[in-house]
Amino acid sequence: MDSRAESEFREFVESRSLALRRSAYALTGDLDTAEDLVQGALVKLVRRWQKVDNPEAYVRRTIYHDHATRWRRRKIVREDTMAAPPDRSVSDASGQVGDRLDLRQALLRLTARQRAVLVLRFYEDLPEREVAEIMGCSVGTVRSQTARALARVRVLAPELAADAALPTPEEASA
Amino acid sequence: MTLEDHLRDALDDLVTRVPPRAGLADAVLREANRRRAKVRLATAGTTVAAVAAGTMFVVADPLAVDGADLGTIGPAAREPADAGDPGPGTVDLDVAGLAEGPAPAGAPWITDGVLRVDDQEFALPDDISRIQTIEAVAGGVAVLTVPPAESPDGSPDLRLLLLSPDGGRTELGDGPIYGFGVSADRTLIAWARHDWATHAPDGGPGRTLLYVADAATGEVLHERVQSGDGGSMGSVRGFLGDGRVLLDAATNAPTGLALWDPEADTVTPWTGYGFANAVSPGAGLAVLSPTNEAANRVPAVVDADGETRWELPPDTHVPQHGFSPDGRHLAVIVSPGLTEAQERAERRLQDEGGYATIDVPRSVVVFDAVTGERELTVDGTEPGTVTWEPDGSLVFEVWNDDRTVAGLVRCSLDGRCELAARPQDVDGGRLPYLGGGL
Repeated sequence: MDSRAESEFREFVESRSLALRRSAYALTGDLDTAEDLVQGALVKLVRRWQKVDNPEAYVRRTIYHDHATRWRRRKIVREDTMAAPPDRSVSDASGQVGDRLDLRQALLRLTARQRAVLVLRFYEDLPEREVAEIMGCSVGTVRSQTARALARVRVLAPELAADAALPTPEEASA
Repeated sequence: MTLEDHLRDALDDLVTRVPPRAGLADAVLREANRRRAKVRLATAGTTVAAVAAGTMFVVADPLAVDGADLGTIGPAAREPADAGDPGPGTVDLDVAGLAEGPAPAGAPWITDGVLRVDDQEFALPDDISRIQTIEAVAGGVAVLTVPPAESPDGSPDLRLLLLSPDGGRTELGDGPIYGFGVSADRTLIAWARHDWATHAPDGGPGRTLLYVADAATGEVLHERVQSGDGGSMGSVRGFLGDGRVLLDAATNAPTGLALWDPEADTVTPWTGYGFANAVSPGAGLAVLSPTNEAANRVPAVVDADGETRWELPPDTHVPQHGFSPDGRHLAVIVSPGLTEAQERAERRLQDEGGYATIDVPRSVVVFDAVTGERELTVDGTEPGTVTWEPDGSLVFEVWNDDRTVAGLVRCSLDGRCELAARPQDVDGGRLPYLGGGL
């Protein structure tokens, strides 16, 4: 990597690293894991800096793939669609703060793929086409995964969903 | 306020916990350079240029953009791990110094987009990244995969297929299928499909359909419906040797495991463990883990009578196919985890504004499956999936430290190791290989 490339790389990291680290944190729910993923993705980017047209898309794709295939330090606790809904909590008078807490817990109980599609769609606000590109699937799969993930959130955080639109029968059975 | 609005707010709120951090570019470049200093292996298709000390193997010149820097040499050379007669015990593997041996035998593996078992080739049903589990069966292979296609009424979660070498493909089922098991003689395959339309009292699916089929033809031989209180029981984890199928509950809050006897059409509670990690149909042994709420979460080897034989070390990852074909050995991946002192040091460095993580060494360890006696420890790699060949050799994925290169290594129980597939570059998450026993 020559000095010009290094300068460009530094500029990219300075301008985009906070957003990337926040995305990784939203994806993982764990600061250490998020830092690990971002730094690992950036090290890979260094190798390919002069070959990559869209560095941010490359890093996001790498973070997603590395997270999906990651098993280092994996715990035995399952984190998949068989997650049990938590016990109903007592309604919190503080309203939204409680809702956010419930929602965060619900997000952490989703599968990695379900969480990813929600983060990419509703935190990154990426269009479905870009989400599909990052996740390596079709736009239709993004739509169906999103619907299923939302339905799962409704099951996991029923208080939160109470004032939201009711799921369709298809979503409810997902 | 819609659920989507709640989600946006919650995610925006959540990420505010991530503070800005200075010096990340420096840290990344230092890390990249540090890894460059350890370069000592060429990628497949080039020549191995040097064998050097250290415990990791790294593709030649990770910073280069125009090919490998074969002249780069790391610290002082040492003997490769397979030199001489190391005997049983601990092997400090230097992947760069390993001789190249034959491809994996008798065990499924994937390379160049083709699924192979010995000289048989099978067309992959989906992209390699979508493959969840592969296992050889009579007449071919069984593959559990996440299909990319979706249907108007919702995308199936997973798809279980039987593949034959003549290109034949039999779909056994799709939907929430979380695993499958194959009998010791590989003639039978068992799986379960969960129905989440309703929920069991434990929060799992309200209904589960259990199947046993002929592994060559796919013909269903036994079928059972679980519903009501037992609706979440259960996910198939494997055959236990006497024709019974080990089930665990499709929930994170299990109260125990169960055995399905397809001939008698009964499902009976078995042990109070929460999860099954690996099953040996040949020896009637299983590695079981306690429930998530248990104080002691150490997995243990349990025999077909439900007796705990021995406990595994803490911080052990048990591969699904960790048992050798004859059930006499159990291969696992042991990581000591971070000590409190290491965690404090790591936190201090991060608080000071630098980026620091402490790599945890991981070892492939083979135990006597019955007694728990340690038979072989392979250090010096970042191991991935583990499987066994019929002759009792262990084959496992090895990765470099930044997970940009992957290969397959074969070790015999006397500690002799060789390459079963040369390390190749992992390009943007695209794997060059995938060993069986996922």
